[in-house]
Amino acid sequence: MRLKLEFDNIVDRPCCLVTVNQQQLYQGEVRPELILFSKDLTGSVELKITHYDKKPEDTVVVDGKIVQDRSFTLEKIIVDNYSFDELIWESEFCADNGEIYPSCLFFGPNGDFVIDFQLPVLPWILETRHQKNNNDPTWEQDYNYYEQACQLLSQISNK
Amino acid sequence: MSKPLDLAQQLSWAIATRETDSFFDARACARLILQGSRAVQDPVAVEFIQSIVDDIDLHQVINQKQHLSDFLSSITEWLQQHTTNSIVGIDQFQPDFSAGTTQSFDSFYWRHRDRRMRCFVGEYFYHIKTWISTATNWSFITDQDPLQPGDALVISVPFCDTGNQPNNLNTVLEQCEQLSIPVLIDSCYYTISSGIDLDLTSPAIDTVAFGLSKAFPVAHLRIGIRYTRDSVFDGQKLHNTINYNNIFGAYVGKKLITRFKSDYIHSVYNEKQKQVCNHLGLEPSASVLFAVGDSKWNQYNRQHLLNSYQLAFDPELFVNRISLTGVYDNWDIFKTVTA
Repeated sequence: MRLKLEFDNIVDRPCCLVTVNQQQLYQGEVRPELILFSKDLTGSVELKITHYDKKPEDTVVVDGKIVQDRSFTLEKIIVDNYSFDELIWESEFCADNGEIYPSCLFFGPNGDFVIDFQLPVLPWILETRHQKNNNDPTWEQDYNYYEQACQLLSQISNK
Repeated sequence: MSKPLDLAQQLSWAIATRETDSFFDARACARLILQGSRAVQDPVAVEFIQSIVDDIDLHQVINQKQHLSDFLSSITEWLQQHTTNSIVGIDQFQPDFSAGTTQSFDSFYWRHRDRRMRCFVGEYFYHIKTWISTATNWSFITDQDPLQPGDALVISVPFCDTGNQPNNLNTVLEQCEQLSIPVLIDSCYYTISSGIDLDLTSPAIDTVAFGLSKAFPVAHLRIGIRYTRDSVFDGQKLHNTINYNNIFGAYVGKKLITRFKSDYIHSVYNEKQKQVCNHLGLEPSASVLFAVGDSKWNQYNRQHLLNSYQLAFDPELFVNRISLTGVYDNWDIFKTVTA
């Protein structure tokens, strides 16, 4: 699996730990773009992005207003070249203090952003989107044609 | 063996997937592969077109007006040399260069703007889009609303909806003659067709337009020809007279008609058309780039095209005209799928 994460609004050099099914793919400073790879992954996947190492002094308050706060925002998840787009919101952020924030892409407090998906990712995207919006009744048939087409083209190019 | 529609889907998807890596782009593309009317990317023609460009000094070519007159003086004979189609009476007309056939349509609409524009259901959507968008008086010809004095008729031969010879063409032309209705004949599919009889002897015929965009992959060069009577001197004729025209298009056009016969595409793809139609259960059209599908092919109707033209007609008004161009361009896929 090729995993691309895009982050934005990165303030004060925050750190993150990225794991898939408990397998660590990255640990370190948050960068605008992380491209990570995981081998031999199939079926259900839990992607976890942990914001860690933020201390109380990383939130600077002046006259009752926060003037600087170590934080970042997750913008995009792209798996095997398919962006989750709006499905990125099918996630939750579990802060270390026990608070759970559904559909939260903002990493303010320390805690875990968690999203579950399936590999291969394309049918998961299509099916999930159809389940949510009921607007793509032919997704499975189209996906099968696409799979057939890829196999056929591979067969032709191997001749 | 796969059912014809399943086979069509397999073909469309494979062709679309070859053109793009993304499922979503491939899906959008697959829905359109068997539609439209673009020219086949015939490898011999493509190589020849490339060689034309490779060999030229562009500045010199586009400043040599002679290329326009060379094209105009050659194309009539070229069209007449088609081995399975016939044209009678074209000598009664004068040729002008045309930006595809489209410029000829616009000239006709403008010259006859005081008339009500008429066409049969299934005619090229460009006409209808233009008439609607310019608030031109127009309507389809129906039993309830037949041709009348004061009308102007646009008709394609071969007919746009099917690629075949239109029904009752002679009767329609006789009627136009009796009612003094000027007629534009759009023959843009002439060079990709077979068995078409184009009798231009009716005095009702005002304009005849041909183009090279369907026979050769040069649609973006807008190479066409318009025939009108001696009496016509409009803006298009003016540009022709003062050589204010697409010299590069004329240059490429002249090269093409010198290198290839006017029935080249039909003769090369005729056998392939039969094979595809046999496998897909389609009726071959007289125009080699098309086939006609029955109601089982409704998913390949004109809905997408109507949407792109922003026209709100029921797609069931039109024949399920299937474009075979994508299949010809990906013949290895067709052979693999049908093996």
